[in-house]
Amino acid sequence: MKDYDVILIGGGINGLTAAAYLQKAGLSVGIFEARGQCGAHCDTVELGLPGYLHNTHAAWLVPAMSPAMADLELEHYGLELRGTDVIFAKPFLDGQNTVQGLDPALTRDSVARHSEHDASVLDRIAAYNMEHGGEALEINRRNLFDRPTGELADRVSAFNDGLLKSLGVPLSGDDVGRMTGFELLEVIFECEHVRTVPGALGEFTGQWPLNRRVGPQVLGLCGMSPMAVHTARGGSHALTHALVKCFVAQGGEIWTTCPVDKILVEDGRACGIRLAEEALLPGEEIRAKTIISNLTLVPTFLRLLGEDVIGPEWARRIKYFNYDDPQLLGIYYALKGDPVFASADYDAAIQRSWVGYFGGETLDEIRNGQGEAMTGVIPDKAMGGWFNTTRADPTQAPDGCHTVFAWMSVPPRPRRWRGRRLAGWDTWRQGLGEALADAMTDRYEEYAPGFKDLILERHVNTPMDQENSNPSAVRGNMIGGSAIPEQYGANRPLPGVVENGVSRSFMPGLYLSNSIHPYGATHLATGYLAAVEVAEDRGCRDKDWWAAQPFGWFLANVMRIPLNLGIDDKWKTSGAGGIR
Amino acid sequence: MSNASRYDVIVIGGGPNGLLAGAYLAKAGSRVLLLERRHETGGGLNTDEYYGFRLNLHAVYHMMADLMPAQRDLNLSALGVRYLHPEIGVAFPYRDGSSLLFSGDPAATARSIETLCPADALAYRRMWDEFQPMLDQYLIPMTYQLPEPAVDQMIEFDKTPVGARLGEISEHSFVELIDEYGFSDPRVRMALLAFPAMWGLNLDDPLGFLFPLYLCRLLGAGLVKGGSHRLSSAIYRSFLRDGGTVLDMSEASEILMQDGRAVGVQTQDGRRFEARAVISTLNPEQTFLQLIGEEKLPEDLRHAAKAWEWEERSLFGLHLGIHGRVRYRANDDRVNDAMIVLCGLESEDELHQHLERVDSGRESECRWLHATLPTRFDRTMAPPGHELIRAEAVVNYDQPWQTEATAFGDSVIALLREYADVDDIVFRREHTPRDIEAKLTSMKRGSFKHGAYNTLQLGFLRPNHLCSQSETPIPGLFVGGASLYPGGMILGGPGYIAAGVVGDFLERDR
Repeated sequence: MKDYDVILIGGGINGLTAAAYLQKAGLSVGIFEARGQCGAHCDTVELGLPGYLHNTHAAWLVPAMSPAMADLELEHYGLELRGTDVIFAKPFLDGQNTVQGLDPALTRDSVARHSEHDASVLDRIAAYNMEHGGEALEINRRNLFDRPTGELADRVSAFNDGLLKSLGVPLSGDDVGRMTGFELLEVIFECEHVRTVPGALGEFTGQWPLNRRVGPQVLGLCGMSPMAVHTARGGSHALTHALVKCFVAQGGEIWTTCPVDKILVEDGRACGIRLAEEALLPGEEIRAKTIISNLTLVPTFLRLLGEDVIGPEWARRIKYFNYDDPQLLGIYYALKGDPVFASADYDAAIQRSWVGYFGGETLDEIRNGQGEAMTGVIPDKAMGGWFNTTRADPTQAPDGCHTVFAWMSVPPRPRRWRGRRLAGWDTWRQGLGEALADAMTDRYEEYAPGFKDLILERHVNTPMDQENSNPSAVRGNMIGGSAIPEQYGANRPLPGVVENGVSRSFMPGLYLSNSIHPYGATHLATGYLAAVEVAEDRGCRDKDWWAAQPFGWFLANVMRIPLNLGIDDKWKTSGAGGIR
Repeated sequence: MSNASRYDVIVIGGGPNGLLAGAYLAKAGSRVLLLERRHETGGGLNTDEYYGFRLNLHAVYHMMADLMPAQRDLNLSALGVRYLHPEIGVAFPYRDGSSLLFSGDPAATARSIETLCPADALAYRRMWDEFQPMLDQYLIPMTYQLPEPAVDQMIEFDKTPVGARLGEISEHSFVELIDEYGFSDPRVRMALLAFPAMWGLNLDDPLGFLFPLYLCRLLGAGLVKGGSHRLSSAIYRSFLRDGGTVLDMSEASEILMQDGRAVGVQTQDGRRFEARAVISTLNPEQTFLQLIGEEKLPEDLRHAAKAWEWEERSLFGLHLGIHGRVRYRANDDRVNDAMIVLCGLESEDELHQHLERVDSGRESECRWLHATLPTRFDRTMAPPGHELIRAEAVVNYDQPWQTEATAFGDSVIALLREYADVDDIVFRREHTPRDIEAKLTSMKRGSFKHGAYNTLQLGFLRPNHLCSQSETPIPGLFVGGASLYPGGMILGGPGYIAAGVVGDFLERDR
């Protein structure tokens, strides 16, 4: 087996991103992936019925904001982003709903029907963002695609200071940095139908509004324009495909079915890997000057390096790395038609939204639900999100049919649900997933009567299933470890693991592209940051093509991404009456 | 049309043969576009990953694993293809605890047969020894060459004694063949006939030349480490590396014609691509009747395309994820080491009766299955602590599978549990003939070889006498899928043959 300049352990999308950048920059890169194919968390599978594509994990694709979009020519390699003009919706049991559109005027109108006050808050946020657009962009850019620094925290604080002043809210930017998201929402908006929208959105990114210090993130959501969110034509796996095609076309090599057993260390430096006995090349040793682990913190340091290499103190600290934040219970439906929300009579725009959240009628309900989930209790009343991806990209199901991915946040080790004592992790093996999926299905029916009649099949993905499909996602954790304050920002993954940057670990030669700042997601930031640091250290950062700015592609192209605008009409002609 | 949409070659269909044709031509320097209808390439080499379980929904046992020229030409080993060759190929456990074990070692197989019938053990040795030179001198090399008309083929065969004998058995049916070798024990006869029967072949058709392939090559077959899709993804990466373009979610809707020549392809969503050559790996109905259209076909080609026959029998698949383990209860524990275990039927009569019931659509529960435990040979096929079972049964397409699938699946589990201890089933997935056709549209009526194997659709007649040289009567149009000689079953033949023919065409056409 030949040596490489760089070995990447784990071919998830961030690993692929780092690999593609470095291969394109002239290094020889080999990816070693345990699964049969790349893209564990960015996958699309026919779970049952042929022709119904299910995005088994990532459905909320945000590569549009990533510099990789342009640098790696992901469109050229087949990635076609798709959206709708109404992005997010939240129906309520009183028959009303709130929607967020690509066009801010649509969002404003929706909010204004609930509360003129809250609509004027949106106006002021929009005006402030317009006036300070450059700074907002710079903060976002550095928040996702740069090293977290104290200086950035100061800038965020100053930015928020100004924003809060313009809203007439008697809080400082520093105050926000010490608040939970829910507190902040209570202060800013007056109407539950408005507050609950950013309250629910926080869950989509795995940053819990309940946590203190996520105030600034939640404040960012208050503008309510999640424009960068898309699906890909043919499903989320198209993002994986594009990264694979780019990497392979540059000459990169991918070894699937190659779980790694050990990171080899010589003279205190990581210098290669040894494959596991069950791997395609059993026990094979492969060498490289640079190793990037796209596995999460605990498997990287405790399994691949081991206590005898990193020492007992690090072993102890890393053992306590937290993966226990609530995770997704995914429920995948194949539907023979498009579910109609009861509140479509109130505002038909909800029929055009492909992402939304139901349950959690009030901020308190969501807050209590999240609080319970964080302490191992599953809320009695099911609530969660849905992706009706086929509204944005009808190719993911047969004509006129739909796939919906509904999810709820569940504690990975549940202790109690509806008065029943549960056995923690093992409960997932005892049919809890199906029971919760029943509850979620009932709940869906409440908001969209007739939903159950549309179901052709249903599949459930529990945190245990997720860990089975990718053991590096300990307890099914979707973002590389909980984004709790102790593991967020400059602390991530844990203080001292990556002291000199974002990705360079304390073990010379070993870089991380997972569990690092900001957090694992389809913006590909952790992979990008790993590529930057490796390229700096290997002296190949200076390439003409490596020039894209974060959000650059997004700003230049967002308006030309095809929107599926025919949905509303289809629904109208399908016979449902009573639209205003 | 812009430059961006102009290619040397367009390949329709990203299954194993389309990928192979594309990879060879791209490696030879052609500009190749491959159009795939689904979201993944691989076709019958599909492996769906279901929460850590890797489900090979179609092809599993690759009879030409290490023999297909692509292994060497594309250096598939460097692209991550490894075959696992279980020592025992096929096992037949019986309800009384006895069993028959077949392996690539004829002496070991004969010892197993001897426990049931010593005379049959001798017959098996005699047959095996006759088959080997036929495979080496004719059947294996012929898999990767253009087929010759039957008469020429016979003249060629007659030049050597081995060839003459091959010509002779080619006239026999499978039943006649085992009669001729003198097999007598009903269980041994059932087992031998199972080799062609498990793939839906008609035991009374005079297709004797397939027997050495189906028996000896199945016993030399390999499983792709990590799942069948690893083979197609390696070819896919070879293709990409050599500059090939893959467009998935791109279903061809029309082969564009100009002055009677094929000049390009249009996709369902209206994109048009131009090329000097078009290779279709779809079935003849799709290629000629749908993508070109009856009215544009010369009469003889229209007739030939319309005369195409589907397989009479299809397969029902059941995939089970097991928490714990699976253990066959046979006296001889080596049954558990077999690549394929066949159970349910225990004599030749039962086999014939069973196939009759299947053909008449009267078989509503599973009485015969072949099963594989991929986790037995490859721990990566399921999460730790779990096993994966893949069971298949020969069935009739024309059963109401929409309503019968679950009950039939239950009967597969019941039959399996007659022979094996199976721990907790944590997931199951049925795959009916309707699902086969819906997933891979070229496998109409669940016809996983793209069309029946019968005397009128094999060799020089596959898909028909006009097209079996890959070149078709329509200039610029070539065929290269499983409906081309030598057929399906992941032989790596049609795509390889088509690439050679198209490569020559591009050279001439320069």
